[in-house]
Amino acid sequence: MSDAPLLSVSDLTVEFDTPQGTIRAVEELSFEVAPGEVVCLVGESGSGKTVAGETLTRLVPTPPGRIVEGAVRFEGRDLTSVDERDLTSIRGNRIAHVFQNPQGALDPAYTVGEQVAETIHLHEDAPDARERALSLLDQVDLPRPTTVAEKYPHELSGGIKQRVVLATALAADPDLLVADEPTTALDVVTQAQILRLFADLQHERDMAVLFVTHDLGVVSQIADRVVVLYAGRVMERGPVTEVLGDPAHPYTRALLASHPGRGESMTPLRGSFPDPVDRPDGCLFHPRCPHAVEECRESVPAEHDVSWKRSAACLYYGDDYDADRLDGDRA
Amino acid sequence: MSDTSEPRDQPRFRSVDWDQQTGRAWSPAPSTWVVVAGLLAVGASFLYDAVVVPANQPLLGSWEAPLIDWLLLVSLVLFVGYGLLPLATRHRTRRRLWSHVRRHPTVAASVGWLAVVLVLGTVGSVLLGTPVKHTDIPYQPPAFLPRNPYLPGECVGALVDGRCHGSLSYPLGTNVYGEDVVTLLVSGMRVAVTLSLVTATILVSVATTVGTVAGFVGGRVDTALTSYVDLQRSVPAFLVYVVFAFLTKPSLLGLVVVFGLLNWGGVAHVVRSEVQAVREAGYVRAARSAGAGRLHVLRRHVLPSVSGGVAVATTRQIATLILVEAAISYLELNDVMVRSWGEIVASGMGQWFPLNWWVVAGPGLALVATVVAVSVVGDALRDVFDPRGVP
Amino acid sequence: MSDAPLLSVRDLKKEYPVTEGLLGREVERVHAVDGVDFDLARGETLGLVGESGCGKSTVASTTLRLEEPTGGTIRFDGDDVGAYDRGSLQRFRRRAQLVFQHATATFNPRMTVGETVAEPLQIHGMADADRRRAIVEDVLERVGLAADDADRYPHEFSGGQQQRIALARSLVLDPDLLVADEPVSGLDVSVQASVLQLMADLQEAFDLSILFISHDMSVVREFCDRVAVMYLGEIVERGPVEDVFENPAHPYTRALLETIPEIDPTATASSAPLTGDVPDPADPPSGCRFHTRCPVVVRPDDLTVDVGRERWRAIYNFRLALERDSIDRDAVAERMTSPTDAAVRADVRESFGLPAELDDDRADAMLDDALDAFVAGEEDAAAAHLRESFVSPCERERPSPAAVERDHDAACLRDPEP
Repeated sequence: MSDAPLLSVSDLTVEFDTPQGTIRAVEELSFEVAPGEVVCLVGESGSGKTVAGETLTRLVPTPPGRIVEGAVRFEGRDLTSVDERDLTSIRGNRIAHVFQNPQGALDPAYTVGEQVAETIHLHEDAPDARERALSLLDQVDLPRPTTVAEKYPHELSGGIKQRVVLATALAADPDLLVADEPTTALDVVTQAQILRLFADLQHERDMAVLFVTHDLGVVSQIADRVVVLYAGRVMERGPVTEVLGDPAHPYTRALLASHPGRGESMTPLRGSFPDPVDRPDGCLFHPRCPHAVEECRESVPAEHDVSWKRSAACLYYGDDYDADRLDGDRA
Repeated sequence: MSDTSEPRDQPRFRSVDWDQQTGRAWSPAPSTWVVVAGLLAVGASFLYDAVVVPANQPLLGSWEAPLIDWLLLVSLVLFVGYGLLPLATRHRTRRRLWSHVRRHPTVAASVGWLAVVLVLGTVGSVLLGTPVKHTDIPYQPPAFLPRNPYLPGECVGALVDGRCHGSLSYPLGTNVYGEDVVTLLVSGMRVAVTLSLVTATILVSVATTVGTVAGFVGGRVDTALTSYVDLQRSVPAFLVYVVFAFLTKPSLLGLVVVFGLLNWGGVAHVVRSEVQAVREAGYVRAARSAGAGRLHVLRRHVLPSVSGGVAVATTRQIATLILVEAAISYLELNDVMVRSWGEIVASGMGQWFPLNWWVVAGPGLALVATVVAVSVVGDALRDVFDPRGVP
Repeated sequence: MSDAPLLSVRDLKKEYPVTEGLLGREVERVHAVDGVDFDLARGETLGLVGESGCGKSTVASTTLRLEEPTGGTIRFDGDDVGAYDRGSLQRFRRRAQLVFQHATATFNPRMTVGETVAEPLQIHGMADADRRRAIVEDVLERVGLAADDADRYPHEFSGGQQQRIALARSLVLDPDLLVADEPVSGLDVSVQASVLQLMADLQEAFDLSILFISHDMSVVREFCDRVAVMYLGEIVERGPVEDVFENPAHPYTRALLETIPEIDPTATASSAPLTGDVPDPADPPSGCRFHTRCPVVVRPDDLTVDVGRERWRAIYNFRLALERDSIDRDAVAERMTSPTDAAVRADVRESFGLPAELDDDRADAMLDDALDAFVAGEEDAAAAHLRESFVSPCERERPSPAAVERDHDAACLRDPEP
């Protein structure tokens, strides 16, 4: 078992052509996922996290999307340049996706059992596909898998549908599961149940998970490491305990401070997200940062190390500035 | 959270004494005043004609004011008031339509042609009057063009090489009765305009009413109305007119009425779906939670959103109707006193055709151009009013 | 200014008949709201919290009489809302405003922001367009937008800004009461924070009373003074926010609180979240509606068997599953390759956490009989075997609210633990 990462994204930049102009959804994104590890891509609207997740297996339509540069290395190959046939054999098979809305992922014309079985068939010759499908439905904690297998998607609740989608994703026993906000459309209790399920399954199968979300609570529950995105760039990355417990980057700090119900007073983040077509110069966060200085506008900050395995893209962590000055905003 | 400019201490909404406010915030739109004034004028003239002026005496000049013409006047008032005038006030719609017209030359050409038809058909036919027969000078060719020597009749223009050439006194030539083709063309425009506007008025009125009631009230009323509409849509208006013409006498009024009263089903369907969609919309719920009654919802939200679909559906009917009228003329089931393009073309395809080609060409081209223009404009309206379009 | 609450709701009920067939024959009734009581004092924010489908949105619409309640009394400023004539109802519509979840859907895309915000003024009879405009420009500035934004269209604004526009529209009639139905759900966290801050500022500046409906406990904790927790059409716990969050008395509240992931990854993993789905509101469980999922269902006083609490609960769950038809032999057997009776029994024991043998002989015998009947396909008989000792008062008695501390009550048969 080597230390080589399962997935290695380097300098990924993705643009979209729209009538309003060219949008840079993701810029110079780099991160790694080790086998069996859970990495969360965290960000709000416009952070580029969804595009990042979809670009891994080139699910983004090109046009209007475009991979400007960068590489996505998986099992020794660069997925941005393999041909379509190889890609389809990886998708669903070695890398599986789970999306936010279970509605879109399930075909209303077939029963749920048929769809799980079909995914198995897609990737291998399996005479026992039906049994395996039932077994999968059982593994995702569905109480009566046989009955559920006979139902059509519209007959099932959101939570159950999402479990089915999960079963489909796991059908081919993937090495990496990319989940994009899989619990956002569900209510709180169901969310907790599904997250639990994710955690259990991940442990059992020693599967790597790339979890894309905006919910810091979710991150705190399941992530090993977290990458914080804002307007398409990485702001901070590191082990989840450190990033959430002692955030380094001003954006991460502001994000945590604006979370409601934490007992500390909630401080909203001023300003608004940058216009995707007309992004600020230099550090993308500087117009809203309480600690911005002239230099923040002049150049995009590099990622400086904060501690071992932790870095933040803020010049205060560079050599010329003192990071303790950032503590000034703490009440 | 910093606020902008100096906030007043007391917000303006606090200075309202609601117990003083009376219920009605609605004043009729300018369109309504114009329409009411116009209709009163038309109504007064009609009464004058009906009561004061003796029967069979023309009301004004040589105009005998048949019923169909009164309907045309009413339709014109409604068209200008509810169709054209609102464009002056609704900037956004006007801008969208204008930008679409600018980007599509065919649409611009079609709108231009239809405008010509509308203006010449109304004003022009009054100026030029009804075509005058000159039985001594039939078959004059168009200006400067020669005609086949076999054609009978004296020649008004120059005789060159033994062939009669056309002259500027009859720029497009004359037909078998010596009627000026230009005047005939314009009279055809008048018929087309009458046909379109009057039928459209009937269609839109009935369809909007029925569609709105069905969509808004729902339930059993909706089921009943929809079933009736489905039944009615299976009745072919063309055949009904033929039977009607056979039993009584062929008339333009008859055609208009039959079409207007039988073909509104499709438009009603469109209205109904739109009304249902709006009825469920979040903004209607929001308005009701703020105290809006059904009338407010109808006026403010439902009807404005219906107009686009109605315009599109109605133009389709008009295009069909113009062609149907031409077909009816060709089948000699029309009123021959009504000089529509179809009638002119039909009567021009007699024994001398194709020698008298100019009688058929002008009105024929006008017919084709108008039908195409109406269809193009209909598609353009659909493109502009499609809610998914980016403004 | 009296001390009486601004809004007082007693025994509110709303039922929806489910019909079938052409003639609309009623098949069943959905009890969306089944006996809800609460008070909202002036200037206070009351949170109404619960999972989706618990009836909280229905409480909002029936309290405002946007739907007619099937039963109960609603008093607004002392008057019975149900007895309002047209004029009074119109006044009520002015004094009580509803703010919806997704602002975009509540805007007519053909109307400008100014026209949308001014619409309530028009509805209530303000004919002077200039005056409306002045009010609209003023209120837009007060929600953090600019006066010229009145000429723009809603789609030109972001989600957070649209929610501000919706708030502006709700303020324009100078209401006393705001009912906010999930006003910040679906917004980014940072945007949510600024909208909540705005709502707090507006509340203070204009002395608003707010009924805040949400499924998000953290938001409620941040924003509300008091909270009422709803489950399946009933309020199960009610009290000041800090009291309820620090000392939740009702097991459902406890479970809900446990599902809030703390943003503190050093905290140990929370205990198992609630199992199962919310029962069908057309066929709610008898007695305490939560008993089918409650981890601490009350055992009868005259308990005739001596098994540990967890075991008792496990067998109880098994019995409930039998009675509610959520388990049958065939379903279990189909999952197995070789469904022998013994295998089925073992599988059932495992799913419910029942050991092969129980300490108490009587209990052991009952369980064996039940399993025998189950394996023979007779679920009812199986349940009958367990009915003697594995029944809870929670399924027979509907608990009424019992005081936990001052102003804090919970509808549960258990003695509230200090």
